[in-house]
Amino acid sequence: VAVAGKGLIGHGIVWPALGQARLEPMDAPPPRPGDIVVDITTSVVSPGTERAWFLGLPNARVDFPFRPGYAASGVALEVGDGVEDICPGDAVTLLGVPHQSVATVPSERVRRVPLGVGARQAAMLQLGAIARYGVRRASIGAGQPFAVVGAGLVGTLTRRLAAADGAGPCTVIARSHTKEAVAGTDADRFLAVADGMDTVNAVGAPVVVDATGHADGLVTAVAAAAPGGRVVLLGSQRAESSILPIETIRKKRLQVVGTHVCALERELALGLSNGITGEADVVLDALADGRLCVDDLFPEDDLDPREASRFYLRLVRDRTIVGVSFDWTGFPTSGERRTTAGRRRRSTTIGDPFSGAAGPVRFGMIGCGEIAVLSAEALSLSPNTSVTACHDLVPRLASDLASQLGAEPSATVDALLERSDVDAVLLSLPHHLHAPLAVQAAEAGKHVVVEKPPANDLAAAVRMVRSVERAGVTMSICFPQRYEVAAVLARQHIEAIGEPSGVEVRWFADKPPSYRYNGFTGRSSSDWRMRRERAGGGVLLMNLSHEFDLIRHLLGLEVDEVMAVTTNIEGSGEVEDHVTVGVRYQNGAIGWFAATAAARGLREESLRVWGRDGHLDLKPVPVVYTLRADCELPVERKVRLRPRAVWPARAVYFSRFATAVAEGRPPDVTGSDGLAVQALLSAAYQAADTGCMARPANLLKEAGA
Amino acid sequence: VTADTAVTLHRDHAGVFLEARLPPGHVAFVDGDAVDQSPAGPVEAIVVTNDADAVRRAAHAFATAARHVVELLSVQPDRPVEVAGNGLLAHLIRAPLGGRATIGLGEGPPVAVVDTSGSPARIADALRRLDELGTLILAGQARGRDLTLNLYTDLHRRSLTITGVPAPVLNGPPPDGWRLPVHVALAEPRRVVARTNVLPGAVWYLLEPEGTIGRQQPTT
Repeated sequence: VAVAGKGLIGHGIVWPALGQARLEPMDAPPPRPGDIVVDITTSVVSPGTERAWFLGLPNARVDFPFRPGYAASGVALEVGDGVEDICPGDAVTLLGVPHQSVATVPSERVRRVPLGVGARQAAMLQLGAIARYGVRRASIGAGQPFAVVGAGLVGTLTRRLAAADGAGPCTVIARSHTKEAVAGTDADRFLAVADGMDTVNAVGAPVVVDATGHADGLVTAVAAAAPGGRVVLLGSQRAESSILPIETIRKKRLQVVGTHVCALERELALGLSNGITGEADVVLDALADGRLCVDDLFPEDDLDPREASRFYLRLVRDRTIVGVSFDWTGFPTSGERRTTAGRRRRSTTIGDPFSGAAGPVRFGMIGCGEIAVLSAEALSLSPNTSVTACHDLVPRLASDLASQLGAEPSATVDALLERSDVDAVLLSLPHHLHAPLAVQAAEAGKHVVVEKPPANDLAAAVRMVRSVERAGVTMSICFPQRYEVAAVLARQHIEAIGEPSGVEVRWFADKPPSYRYNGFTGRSSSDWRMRRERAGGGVLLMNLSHEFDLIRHLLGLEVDEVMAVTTNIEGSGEVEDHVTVGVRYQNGAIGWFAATAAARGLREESLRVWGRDGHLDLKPVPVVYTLRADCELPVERKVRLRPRAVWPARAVYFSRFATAVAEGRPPDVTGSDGLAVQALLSAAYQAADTGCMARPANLLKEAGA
Repeated sequence: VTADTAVTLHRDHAGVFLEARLPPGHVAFVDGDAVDQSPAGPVEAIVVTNDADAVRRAAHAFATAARHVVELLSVQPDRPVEVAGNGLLAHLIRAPLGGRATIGLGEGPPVAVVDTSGSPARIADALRRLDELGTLILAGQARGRDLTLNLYTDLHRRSLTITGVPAPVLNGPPPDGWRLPVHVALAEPRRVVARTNVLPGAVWYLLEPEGTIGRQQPTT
């Protein structure tokens, strides 16, 4: 789709500044005499060099904005005057061309790809030429043993090109065993410096190539060389200073040969060689006749260029990367600027939360005070739940709810549990009553839903969950925030953030002093919320327990260690009104949670999680940002998740519980989920009390879970 | 015999002292460049029987080492090479090169530099001055000193070559009639005797048996 005379529009990877990468539209000008316009299909990453450029390591400083890359292949689209050996339609490989979808390059940097050589193989040409130059400077003879320090891409190519010339056997020396699997496919011997230098000193190879680029690579190579041997310094050192072991070089009568592809131009000028194209042609020949194989160096699928930023961040941390390439076939060249290349429409459509509801399940409500009002409304809204009986120590509260729900008040718990029209009970009680009444209900054969938290302490929660399990009924802890529309959308898109790295939660409220006695509604007066023995805790347990569950639900991670600080600023009651909790998750991610019930004038909640590939804000506004192109989201843009439906989360929770009961399967939120949250709460309280890190898993074990 | 430990160089406030621990009836020869720039420590020496042919045999060992260096230089492009030292080895390397050899800065970057000092500072300087694709020949004793430098800019990017050549060794009697080149032969080894002052800057030194042979800095 060339537009003759106007040039082409494509896309290319640009680094606007150190450590940043993005995909941008770019122009390929029309060919001048001697130029060729190439539609690039594949560009290969040079891991060591591009990592060094990206990080701005010593000896690898580049000017920004910068276009990385220098190895690519594609198809010739258009040729300028005077180009005779390449025709439009030819498969070609390019020397020194950045990662981009189209390029106009001088014909001397273009080689026709021989038959049988694939696009990715051909795209290796520049890297192969570098390695080939090292092999030539090393003068490795057929049948001559040699060693290569470094198991990266250039080191591997060097080894294989030397072997293609008949040299060998080959010893590979690396810093560690990390890349042994790659090197082991064709190395005769693999040594790790980490295992000690004695084995390296004993290598005694007549030729050693240092392809590491490490500051200590040359010292290793010199150690591995036999007296009178030759050491080729092929990798570009990314250190301001390195040791040149001059005494050893002299004593061992070594020849240390610096080998940088830049010198090929000088060689060409002096008539010493055919320059880089001469090396490249040798590599192409080896690829064409099968003496050089590189397919196994690309263990992963081609990269989507839209994920450039994600990839370069991975390149920084993942030292095992050997061969990777960008696939540009999804970015056809065009005569028109395409600013939406590859972008897909995001979808925030979610289905009917009540679809598939089974049942019905008839509830008896035990506890008809504060939160029970919300639950009663939810049970009414849910299509597969109903309330048949209500009980409260304050008969007025039970009668009130029962009349609203068309249910009957029960004078006692026993009376409620004896009813045959009660399939399940909902416990909305002071926390110290959860466990005994849940056990009683379960033993009466009723399924059990316990308002969060599971209990006032971990031991009680464990006893409760185990007793209910033994009774063979279904149990769930009421964590309805999982079913908020934003949370459902967040869970749909959570993979966009990649491996989780961190969590930040803030929960700030201004609870009036009367709350401690009357709750928010004033339906029931009691001081149980102020008593640690009865409530189990303050704002941490009352409010952050929701967030603890929500994070578990979103990330699927358990907390490994907890630190916490609590305080009671208001000074009334026995429970905290301020808390900050720091956690470390099993995967190493960290999280911090801050909550207060007494921040004057504040009502603010935020919940944010992030990972290696992006971040997701759930509260106050659901937003997702990703570097991944496989998530049906635009890459590198903050996207607000706009739900197209609103539903009552608590009703969804009860409906799904009822469906689980009807279908005889575990509910979404199990007793074990409740124990995990309770253990985290207990660990936080223990940490706050002792000033020492606490581990939820240890507490669960101690509690007999 | 090449003795790495027969002669030890000491430095103190009074100047340089060479301590020789030689078998009875032997003398040692030390290159001048090994003394003038070196830190304290063992000095490479040619240790020979103290007879009438001792000087000639030691000189032949140096000449053999020099010939090896010249052979290495012969494969370099026919452009000036730099041999900057003042010791016997440097003289012997320069002699067959004639006008091709420069002692210091010549016109344009040299294609090769021969270092007979072993001094890291001089070697680093030489590497920076070498032409692209140039060669540095290490012919001096580093004496435990390694060189810290930017390998990329100072060696790798310009595709330089560094070649280590061994210390002069006795390799049998010189052929009949073998003589040092005339102008080199004028530089007789400076005979140093224990506890006597010697002037610095000799081309090479002859150390006599036993005891400490001192060379002090001249007083004003």
